[in-house]
Amino acid sequence: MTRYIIRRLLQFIPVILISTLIVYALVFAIPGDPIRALAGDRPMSDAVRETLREQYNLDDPFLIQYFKYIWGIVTALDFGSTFNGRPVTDIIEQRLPVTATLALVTLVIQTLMGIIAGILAALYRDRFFDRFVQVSTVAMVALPTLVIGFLLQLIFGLNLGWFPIAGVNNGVSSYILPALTMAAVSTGILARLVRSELLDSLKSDYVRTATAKGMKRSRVITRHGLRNSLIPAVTFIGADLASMLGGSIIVETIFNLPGLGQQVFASIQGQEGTVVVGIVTLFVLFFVVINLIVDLLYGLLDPRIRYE
Amino acid sequence: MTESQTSTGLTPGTRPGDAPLLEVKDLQVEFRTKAGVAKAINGLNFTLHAGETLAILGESGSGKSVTAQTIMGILDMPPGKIAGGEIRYRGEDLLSMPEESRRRLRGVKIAMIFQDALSSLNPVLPVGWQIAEMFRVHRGLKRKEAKVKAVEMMQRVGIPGAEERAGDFPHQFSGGMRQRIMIAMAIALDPDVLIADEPTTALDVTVQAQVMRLLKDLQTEFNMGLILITHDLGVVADVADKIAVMYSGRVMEAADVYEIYGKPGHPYTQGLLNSIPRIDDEGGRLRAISGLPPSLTDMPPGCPFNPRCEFATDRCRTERPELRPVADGHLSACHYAEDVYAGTATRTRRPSPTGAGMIDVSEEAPQ
Ligand SMILES: Nc1ncnc2c1ncn2[C@@H]1O[C@H](COP(=O)(O)OP(=O)(O)OP(=O)(O)O)[C@@H](O)[C@H]1O
Ligand code: SF4
Ligand SMILES: [Mg+2]
Repeated sequence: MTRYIIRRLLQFIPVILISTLIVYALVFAIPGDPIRALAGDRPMSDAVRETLREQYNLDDPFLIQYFKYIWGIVTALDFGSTFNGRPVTDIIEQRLPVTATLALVTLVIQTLMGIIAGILAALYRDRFFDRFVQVSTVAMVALPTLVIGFLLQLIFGLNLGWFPIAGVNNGVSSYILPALTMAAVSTGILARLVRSELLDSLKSDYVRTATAKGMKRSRVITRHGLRNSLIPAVTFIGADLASMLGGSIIVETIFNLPGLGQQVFASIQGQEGTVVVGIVTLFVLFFVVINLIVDLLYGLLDPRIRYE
Repeated sequence: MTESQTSTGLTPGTRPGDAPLLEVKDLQVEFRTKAGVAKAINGLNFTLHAGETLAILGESGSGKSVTAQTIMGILDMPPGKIAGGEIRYRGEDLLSMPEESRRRLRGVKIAMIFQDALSSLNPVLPVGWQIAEMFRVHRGLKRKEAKVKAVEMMQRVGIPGAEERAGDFPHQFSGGMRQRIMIAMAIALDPDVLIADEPTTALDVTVQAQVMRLLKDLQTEFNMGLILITHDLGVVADVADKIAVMYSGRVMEAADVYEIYGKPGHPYTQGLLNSIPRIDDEGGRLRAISGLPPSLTDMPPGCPFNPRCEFATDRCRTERPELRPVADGHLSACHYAEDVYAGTATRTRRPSPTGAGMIDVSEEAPQ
């Protein structure tokens, strides 16, 4: 077990190196001169430009730039800074809470809605609620995030006026519509997953045994049926949480939330390579850590899993 | 089948007035499938008394498991449907009982063990927990006390190191040990009736005998009525008191083990006995019964065995034989039961040498 964790942790190193390298390369490949973009229409002397290019290693070959960047992180925990001189860690610190809140609210919404809808659909199989879940989940999975976001803004924001449609000035209620938007696809998948897993499980021999033991139907479902059918749901939720930061880019932009996703979007436009790479590295790190936790949790829930 | 036949039937010496432990009367179960209504159980009758082992014997598909599930009340409904009959436990009809009263009997008074212990035990719960659940739910014991009881049960069924192994999961045990755990769970609350549906079929031959021995010992110790479902005649010879032979959802013959083996009163039972390979039989000649059981969606009129029977007459093709006594404590559902029992029945047909169907004896050219 311990050896398994250590091995997994060691695997993080190449994963992170390769993914940052790819992101770095992509940012590097964006055409145009970032310094000129920074200056905008204002005139900038050649001397100033030279100094800036020097400071950000912009004249070095790509790989050298990359290694200098990694070296800075490893030796001095220096994640670089923006062209304005603001440290990337500073930006992350400021914007992380918004994205974290969004991810958390999304997680709660999709877990509750997905699992409850899935359970009820299975228990009322082929009845109205089940049909409703079947149809609505198809819609949730098929519609693009952008469309869902606009629809929610239109209905619950503009028409009904229940929730704000942009910004973060209204506490948790600011996060409801963005979180619903972000949760849509996963809620749909989760509901279907839980439904089919629970149906399978209710047909299984061990559930039949539990009934034969004289357990009440409610206990048969919760203790024997659900327990097993939720294992794949946990895996899915974990994998989904891990990739949620990526999803935040679109949603934070649609709803104008000042989080990491919006920052990535803006930084790509401004060709602020260090910021993009810094935040994306954080996303990747989060992804691998959550996946490790899910794998460990999986073993806890299903004793048949063994770590080698 | 009438009342008088029931009491003259399987167990002689039953005093009138005290109801048998379990009594199945004219049970009918069908499945509604796309292919039509499959009549899996068609008027099934048998009786079980305390301390008695009844083996239910029959080919695959004859309705043994459906019978067990119907008695337990764990039949899948739909597609299953109980179309008629009674199942009386100590005189009380289980089928007309409210579900909650029935649940209180399930696993407590009437318990069951299944063929495949690996899939029938919950893979993610420790075996000790699964046994302890019986004491916690039905006896209201605390977690700790229930665990102690569970370990005791595991020791009773012969699991080495029960104390340490109670926390292990089903996949960590061997097949034989898993079946012992199933047994421990089933007998935990000292049931009156234990139904074992092919309890040893999934096990190695060497382990089979041990598990069967254990079942027999426990049955004596707890004075349970044991229903042993099997399609293996060899298994039941040592342990059963009575045998009920099932065919197409009916009891074809029921009697003491010795009667069945020595003087079968039904052509189908004779066929089954002839299909057991014997050690003393030079060359191990095996005579399987030719033909297949009838389709449950399209039952032939008359005797369900008539398409395969060597003694079938026109009467067999139109008139359904009732289960009736042919000797003391010996029931048979055959028009010619007495002749078959006495070994004097006239063979009308014999299996075709090609294996396809039967040839009328009268149509054959005299040699
Ligand atoms: N859930 C079900 N749906 C439809 N048909 C069923 C169902 N369960 C059983 N049957 C049918 O009922 C008949 C009797 O099945 P059953 O399982 O009782 O046979 P069995 O005697 O136990 O055979 P085996 O020796 O193979 O276990 C079979 O023809 C089967 O197809
Ligand atoms: S009733 Fe007729 S067909 Fe049926 S077993 Fe007896 S002899 Fe054979
Ligand atoms: Mg069966």
